Amino acid sequence: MIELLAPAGDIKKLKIALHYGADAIYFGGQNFGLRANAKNFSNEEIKEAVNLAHSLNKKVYVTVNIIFHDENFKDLENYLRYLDNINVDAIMVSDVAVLDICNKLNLKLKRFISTQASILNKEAALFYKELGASRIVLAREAMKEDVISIKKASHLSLETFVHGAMCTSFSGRCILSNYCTNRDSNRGGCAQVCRWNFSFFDLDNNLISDNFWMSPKDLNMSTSIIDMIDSGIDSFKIEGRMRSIYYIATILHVYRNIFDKISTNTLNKSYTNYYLNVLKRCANRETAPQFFNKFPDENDQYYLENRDEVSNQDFLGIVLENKKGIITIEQRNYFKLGDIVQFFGPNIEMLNYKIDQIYNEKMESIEVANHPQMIIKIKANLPVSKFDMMRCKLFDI
Amino acid sequence: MKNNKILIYLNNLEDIAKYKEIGITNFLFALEDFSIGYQTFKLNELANLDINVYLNINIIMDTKKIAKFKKLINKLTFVKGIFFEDVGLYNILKKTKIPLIWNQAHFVINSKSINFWLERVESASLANELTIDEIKYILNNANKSLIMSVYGLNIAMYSRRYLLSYFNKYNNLKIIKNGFLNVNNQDNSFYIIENKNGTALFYNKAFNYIPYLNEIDDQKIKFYLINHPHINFEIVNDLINHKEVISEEKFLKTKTIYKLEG
Repeated sequence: MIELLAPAGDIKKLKIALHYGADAIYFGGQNFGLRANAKNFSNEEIKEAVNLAHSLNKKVYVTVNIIFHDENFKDLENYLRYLDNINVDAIMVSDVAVLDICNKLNLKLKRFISTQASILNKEAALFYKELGASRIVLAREAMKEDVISIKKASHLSLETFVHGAMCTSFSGRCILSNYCTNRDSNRGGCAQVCRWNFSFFDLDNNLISDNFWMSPKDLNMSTSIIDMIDSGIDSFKIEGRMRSIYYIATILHVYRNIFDKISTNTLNKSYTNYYLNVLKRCANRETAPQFFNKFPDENDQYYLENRDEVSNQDFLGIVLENKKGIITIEQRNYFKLGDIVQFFGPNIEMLNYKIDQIYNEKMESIEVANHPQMIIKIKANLPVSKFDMMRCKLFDI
Repeated sequence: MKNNKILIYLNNLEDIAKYKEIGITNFLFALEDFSIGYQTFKLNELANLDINVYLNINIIMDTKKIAKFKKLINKLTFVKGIFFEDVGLYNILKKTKIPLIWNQAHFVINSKSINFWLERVESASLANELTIDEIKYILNNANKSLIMSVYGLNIAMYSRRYLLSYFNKYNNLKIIKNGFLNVNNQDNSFYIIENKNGTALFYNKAFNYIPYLNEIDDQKIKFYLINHPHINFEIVNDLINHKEVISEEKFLKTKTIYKLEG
């Protein structure tokens, strides 16, 4: 079964991700996961997440993917036992010590090998399979022939990133942050130094450029999904535990629709173009397909002087309730009477609507919604429901 | 630090005679097509040298690359050991008699993983991002002797992308394959070098742990590794004779931050 795998930075984002069609969610606990400085999940919240996901027949994966220093092993065994006891479906691991501990404790937790391990060949996959891994999260650099070869030899479940930020480096092979910020990249402290600006000198110390950039565009594999399924990918992963609910909802909405249309053979060029436009609009960096079908080149890199970085104000509000023809919305960005907006949600591909009246919480008529998170109401007979999103009108299909 | 326990990551075959004169006979080589960041050599250049040859295969291998390496295995009988980054390499070499050294970039930093690997391989090469206390702890708890880098430049990043070529092509500049990147508004600089396997960045200030070796139990050390991509005999000689060499102690005395407070 094909899986759409979404990130969750906290319990609220997890609920949004499940609502928008994720088949499985990944996140970190308070320790042992990369994104050390995100909010992450307490033990109680992990349990709540597991119960919620399982009630919807969905899965939960917890990242235990730092590369450990000896001092970090404290409490790891108890944590792994806890995750096992509360029926977390799998942990994502990069350090063999964690695999070894799981094996010695005889835990039923499935072990997925994190992309931090940077697996590109079948021999590496077979090594981890022998250690009890049931899934490989492929290196972001995997080409199609690598995917096919690994699948054929290992028969392991294969997971790959399809959307979001890309590392410049092979994952796990970068300590630029350690040098430039004293934060440990491989324990969740990545400061994205590869996105910084550098001066480039030749070996004789002649300045070549004082505006050197090295980071790639973000990943967007939305036009290659069929090919990826055919090559043996089982789980399609979206990056972004630090992203907003609007970003998560938009990206998931698009990919959920792509997968559903592939399964019903209804994905046509109009939809593909529409989805591509929405995805491009949602990110604040340029996106591009990378690796898999084509080795990247200079056009897949990100150069600051030419970037079209959008400060995204598209997210106008989230639907809280739709009752008796009154839609209650929590505002996120300015909108006013006369604006044409778009609703989208799990049951709405896209619905254009002209704002012809706005009411405040006391049902007093107002002309603009201009306070962040203010509660507004609209009288309209629209098929929207809780957690549906309202955005600026972007594109038509 | 006895000279017979020094391992030099060599970039120049002509220096071998000088090293042998002072009792250094262990050398690490980057193998053509299978390494990044260092001067590479072909197998036939290394096969008949009267020295102990170790190979460093420090790339992550894709399907084609590992298939290509498999074809070399029967030509490796003269090699005293192989440092490997890609665990796939371990998988195809584990049944050979070639001694293997776990050298998986920044992963070799805790005693549990090291001992896991020491059940399977000859030794492990400690990563550089460790404090002196961590190094001592690991050495005391490791089940075999280990390799410790004592002088050189540390690889700070390894990308599959051709970062210099991309930038130069995009800007219509002459393609050059190495140079220096200075972080704007910081005192940090990186040596950058590109080859067919991608791009490597080295932190451009040498580390030198030799002054601290009196704190280290020599019995726990298999080799003291000198791994500067631009090493030469004169520098090594100065190091051995404890002459002052420009260097810094980046991680040896300062822990990196795991989680920010507050």
